[in-house]
Amino acid sequence: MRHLFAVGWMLGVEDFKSFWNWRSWTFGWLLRIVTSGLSLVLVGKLLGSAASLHYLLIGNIIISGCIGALFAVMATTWNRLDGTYPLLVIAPANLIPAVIGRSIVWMLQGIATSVAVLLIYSLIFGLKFSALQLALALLSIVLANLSTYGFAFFLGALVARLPSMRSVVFNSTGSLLAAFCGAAVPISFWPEALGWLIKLLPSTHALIAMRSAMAELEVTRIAIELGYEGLIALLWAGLGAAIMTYMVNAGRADGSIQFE
Amino acid sequence: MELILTKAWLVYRVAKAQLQISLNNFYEDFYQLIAIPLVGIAPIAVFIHAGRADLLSYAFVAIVTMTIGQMGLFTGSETIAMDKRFQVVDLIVSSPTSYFTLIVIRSLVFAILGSFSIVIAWFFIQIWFRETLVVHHPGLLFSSVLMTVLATAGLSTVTAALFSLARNVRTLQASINGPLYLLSGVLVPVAYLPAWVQLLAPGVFFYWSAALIRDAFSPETPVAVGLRLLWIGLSALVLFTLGAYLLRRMINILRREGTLSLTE
Repeated sequence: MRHLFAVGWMLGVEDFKSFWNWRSWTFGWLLRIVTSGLSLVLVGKLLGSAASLHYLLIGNIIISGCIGALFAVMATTWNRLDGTYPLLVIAPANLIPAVIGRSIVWMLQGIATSVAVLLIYSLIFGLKFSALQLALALLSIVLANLSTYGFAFFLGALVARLPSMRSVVFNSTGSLLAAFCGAAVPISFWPEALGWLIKLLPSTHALIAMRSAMAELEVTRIAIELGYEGLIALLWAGLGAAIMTYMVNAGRADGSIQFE
Repeated sequence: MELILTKAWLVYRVAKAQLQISLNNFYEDFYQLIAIPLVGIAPIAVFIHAGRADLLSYAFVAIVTMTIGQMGLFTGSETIAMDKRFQVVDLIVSSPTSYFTLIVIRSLVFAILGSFSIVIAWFFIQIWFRETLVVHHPGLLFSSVLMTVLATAGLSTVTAALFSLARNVRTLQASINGPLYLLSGVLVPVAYLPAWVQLLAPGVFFYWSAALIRDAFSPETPVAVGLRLLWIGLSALVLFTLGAYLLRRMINILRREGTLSLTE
C-alpha cells in the first residue's frame, strides 16, 4: 500500500510540475489568488468597518488555501482522462492509495497558498500574531486543507463518472465554501437548516478555531473545533473511498470500466 | 442588399454552429457562466449582513462584468486552441471565409452568453436574498452591457490568437483574471486601492464598464455617459484591430512552419 502511494505521489509531483514552476506558481497562481481575495477583503474597507476587514482577512487566508487544495477534484479524474483508470482497476491492488498519492500534492499547494496569503496580508494590513496565535493559525490552515482535500477526494470520486464536470465542480465549490463556511459572514447569517449542513463542510470549524485564536484565545474551544475539522476530513475521505470502491466494483461487474 | 443577407447568413450559421459545439461540450464551455456568478454570493451576503443593501448593485456589477469577462477571456480565448486540438485549423484556414471573421462571431457568441449573468445576479439578489435592486437608468445598463460585450469579444480575439501559440493555455488564463478585475474595481471601486493602481485602472475597459453599470443603479443623473461608452467602444475597436493583426501573424507563422494543427 505504501509503495502504491509512493508511485502515485511521484506522478502527482509530475502533475504539479506540468502545471506550475516556481515562477508561474508565484506570479500566476499566487498573484491570482491574492488579487481575487483582495477584491472581497476590500469590501471591509468599502463598508468602513475595521471589524469587517479583519473578519474577511481571516476568512480569506483559510479559503485561499482551500481553493488550492480543491485542485484535487480535477486530479482525481485525471486517471480517467489519461486512460490509466482501467489499468488501475484491473491491477490486483487497491487503487485508492494510488489515487490519493497522485492527488494529495494539491493539499500541500493549499497549505502553501494559505501560508503565503497570511504572510502577504500581514505585510499589507499589519496583522499581528503572538507565537501561540501563529501556531494555532498554522494548525487551522493545515486542518482546513486536510478536510478540503478529503472533500475534494469525495467530489472527485463522484465527478470521475462525468469528468467533463470537473472544472465546474472545482470552480463552484471554492466560491460556495467562501460564501457559506464562515469566511465572509458568520454561519448564523444563514437559515438554521443550512447551518447544520455548513457545519459538515470543510474549513467551517478551522475558521471558527482561527478566529478564536485571533480573539479570545479559548484553547479548549479551539482544540474541539480543530478536532471536528479533522473528523470532517475523515468523513469526506471515507465517503470518497466508499464511492470509488463502489464504482470500481460496479464497473467490474457490468464491464463498463472503460465506458462510464 | 444581397451582400448584407450573405453576411447575416454567415453570422447566423457560424453562431449556430458555435452554440451547437458548446452545447455538446456544455460543462467545459458554459462552466464560467455557472461558476463565476457564484463568486457574487459572498459579497451579497456581506452587504446584507452589514445592513448595506444599498451596495448590492456593487455585487451585481461584479457578477455581470466578471462573467462576461470570463466567458470571453476563458472560453472565447480557447477557440483557436480547441480548433488546433481537434485538428480543424487547416480546414478553416483554407476555407474562403477569413478566420478572423469566424473568431469575431464566435467570441461574440461567448460574450453575449456571459451577459445572461444579469438574470443570475438578479435572481440571487431579488429572489434568493429577497432584496430590492432598482435600475434607475435601464438604457445605461443595456448600453453599458452591450459595449462591454463588444469590448470583451475584442479582447477575446486578441487572447485567442496569443493563447493559440502558448503551451499551457489554462495556466495563462487563470493568472490574468484576478489582477484584471481587482485593477478594474469591478467589486470595490478603485478609490479603495493604492494611488498607483488608480492611475492604471482607466486603461482597462472593465473599469469603465463597472463604473457605468454601477451608475445605472444610482438615482443620480450619470455624467459623461457618451464619452465613457465611447471609450469602451474605442477599446473594442483597438482590440479587434490588434486581434486581426495577431491572428494574421499567427497563421503566417504556423503556415510557414507547417504546424497549423500540430502546435499545442
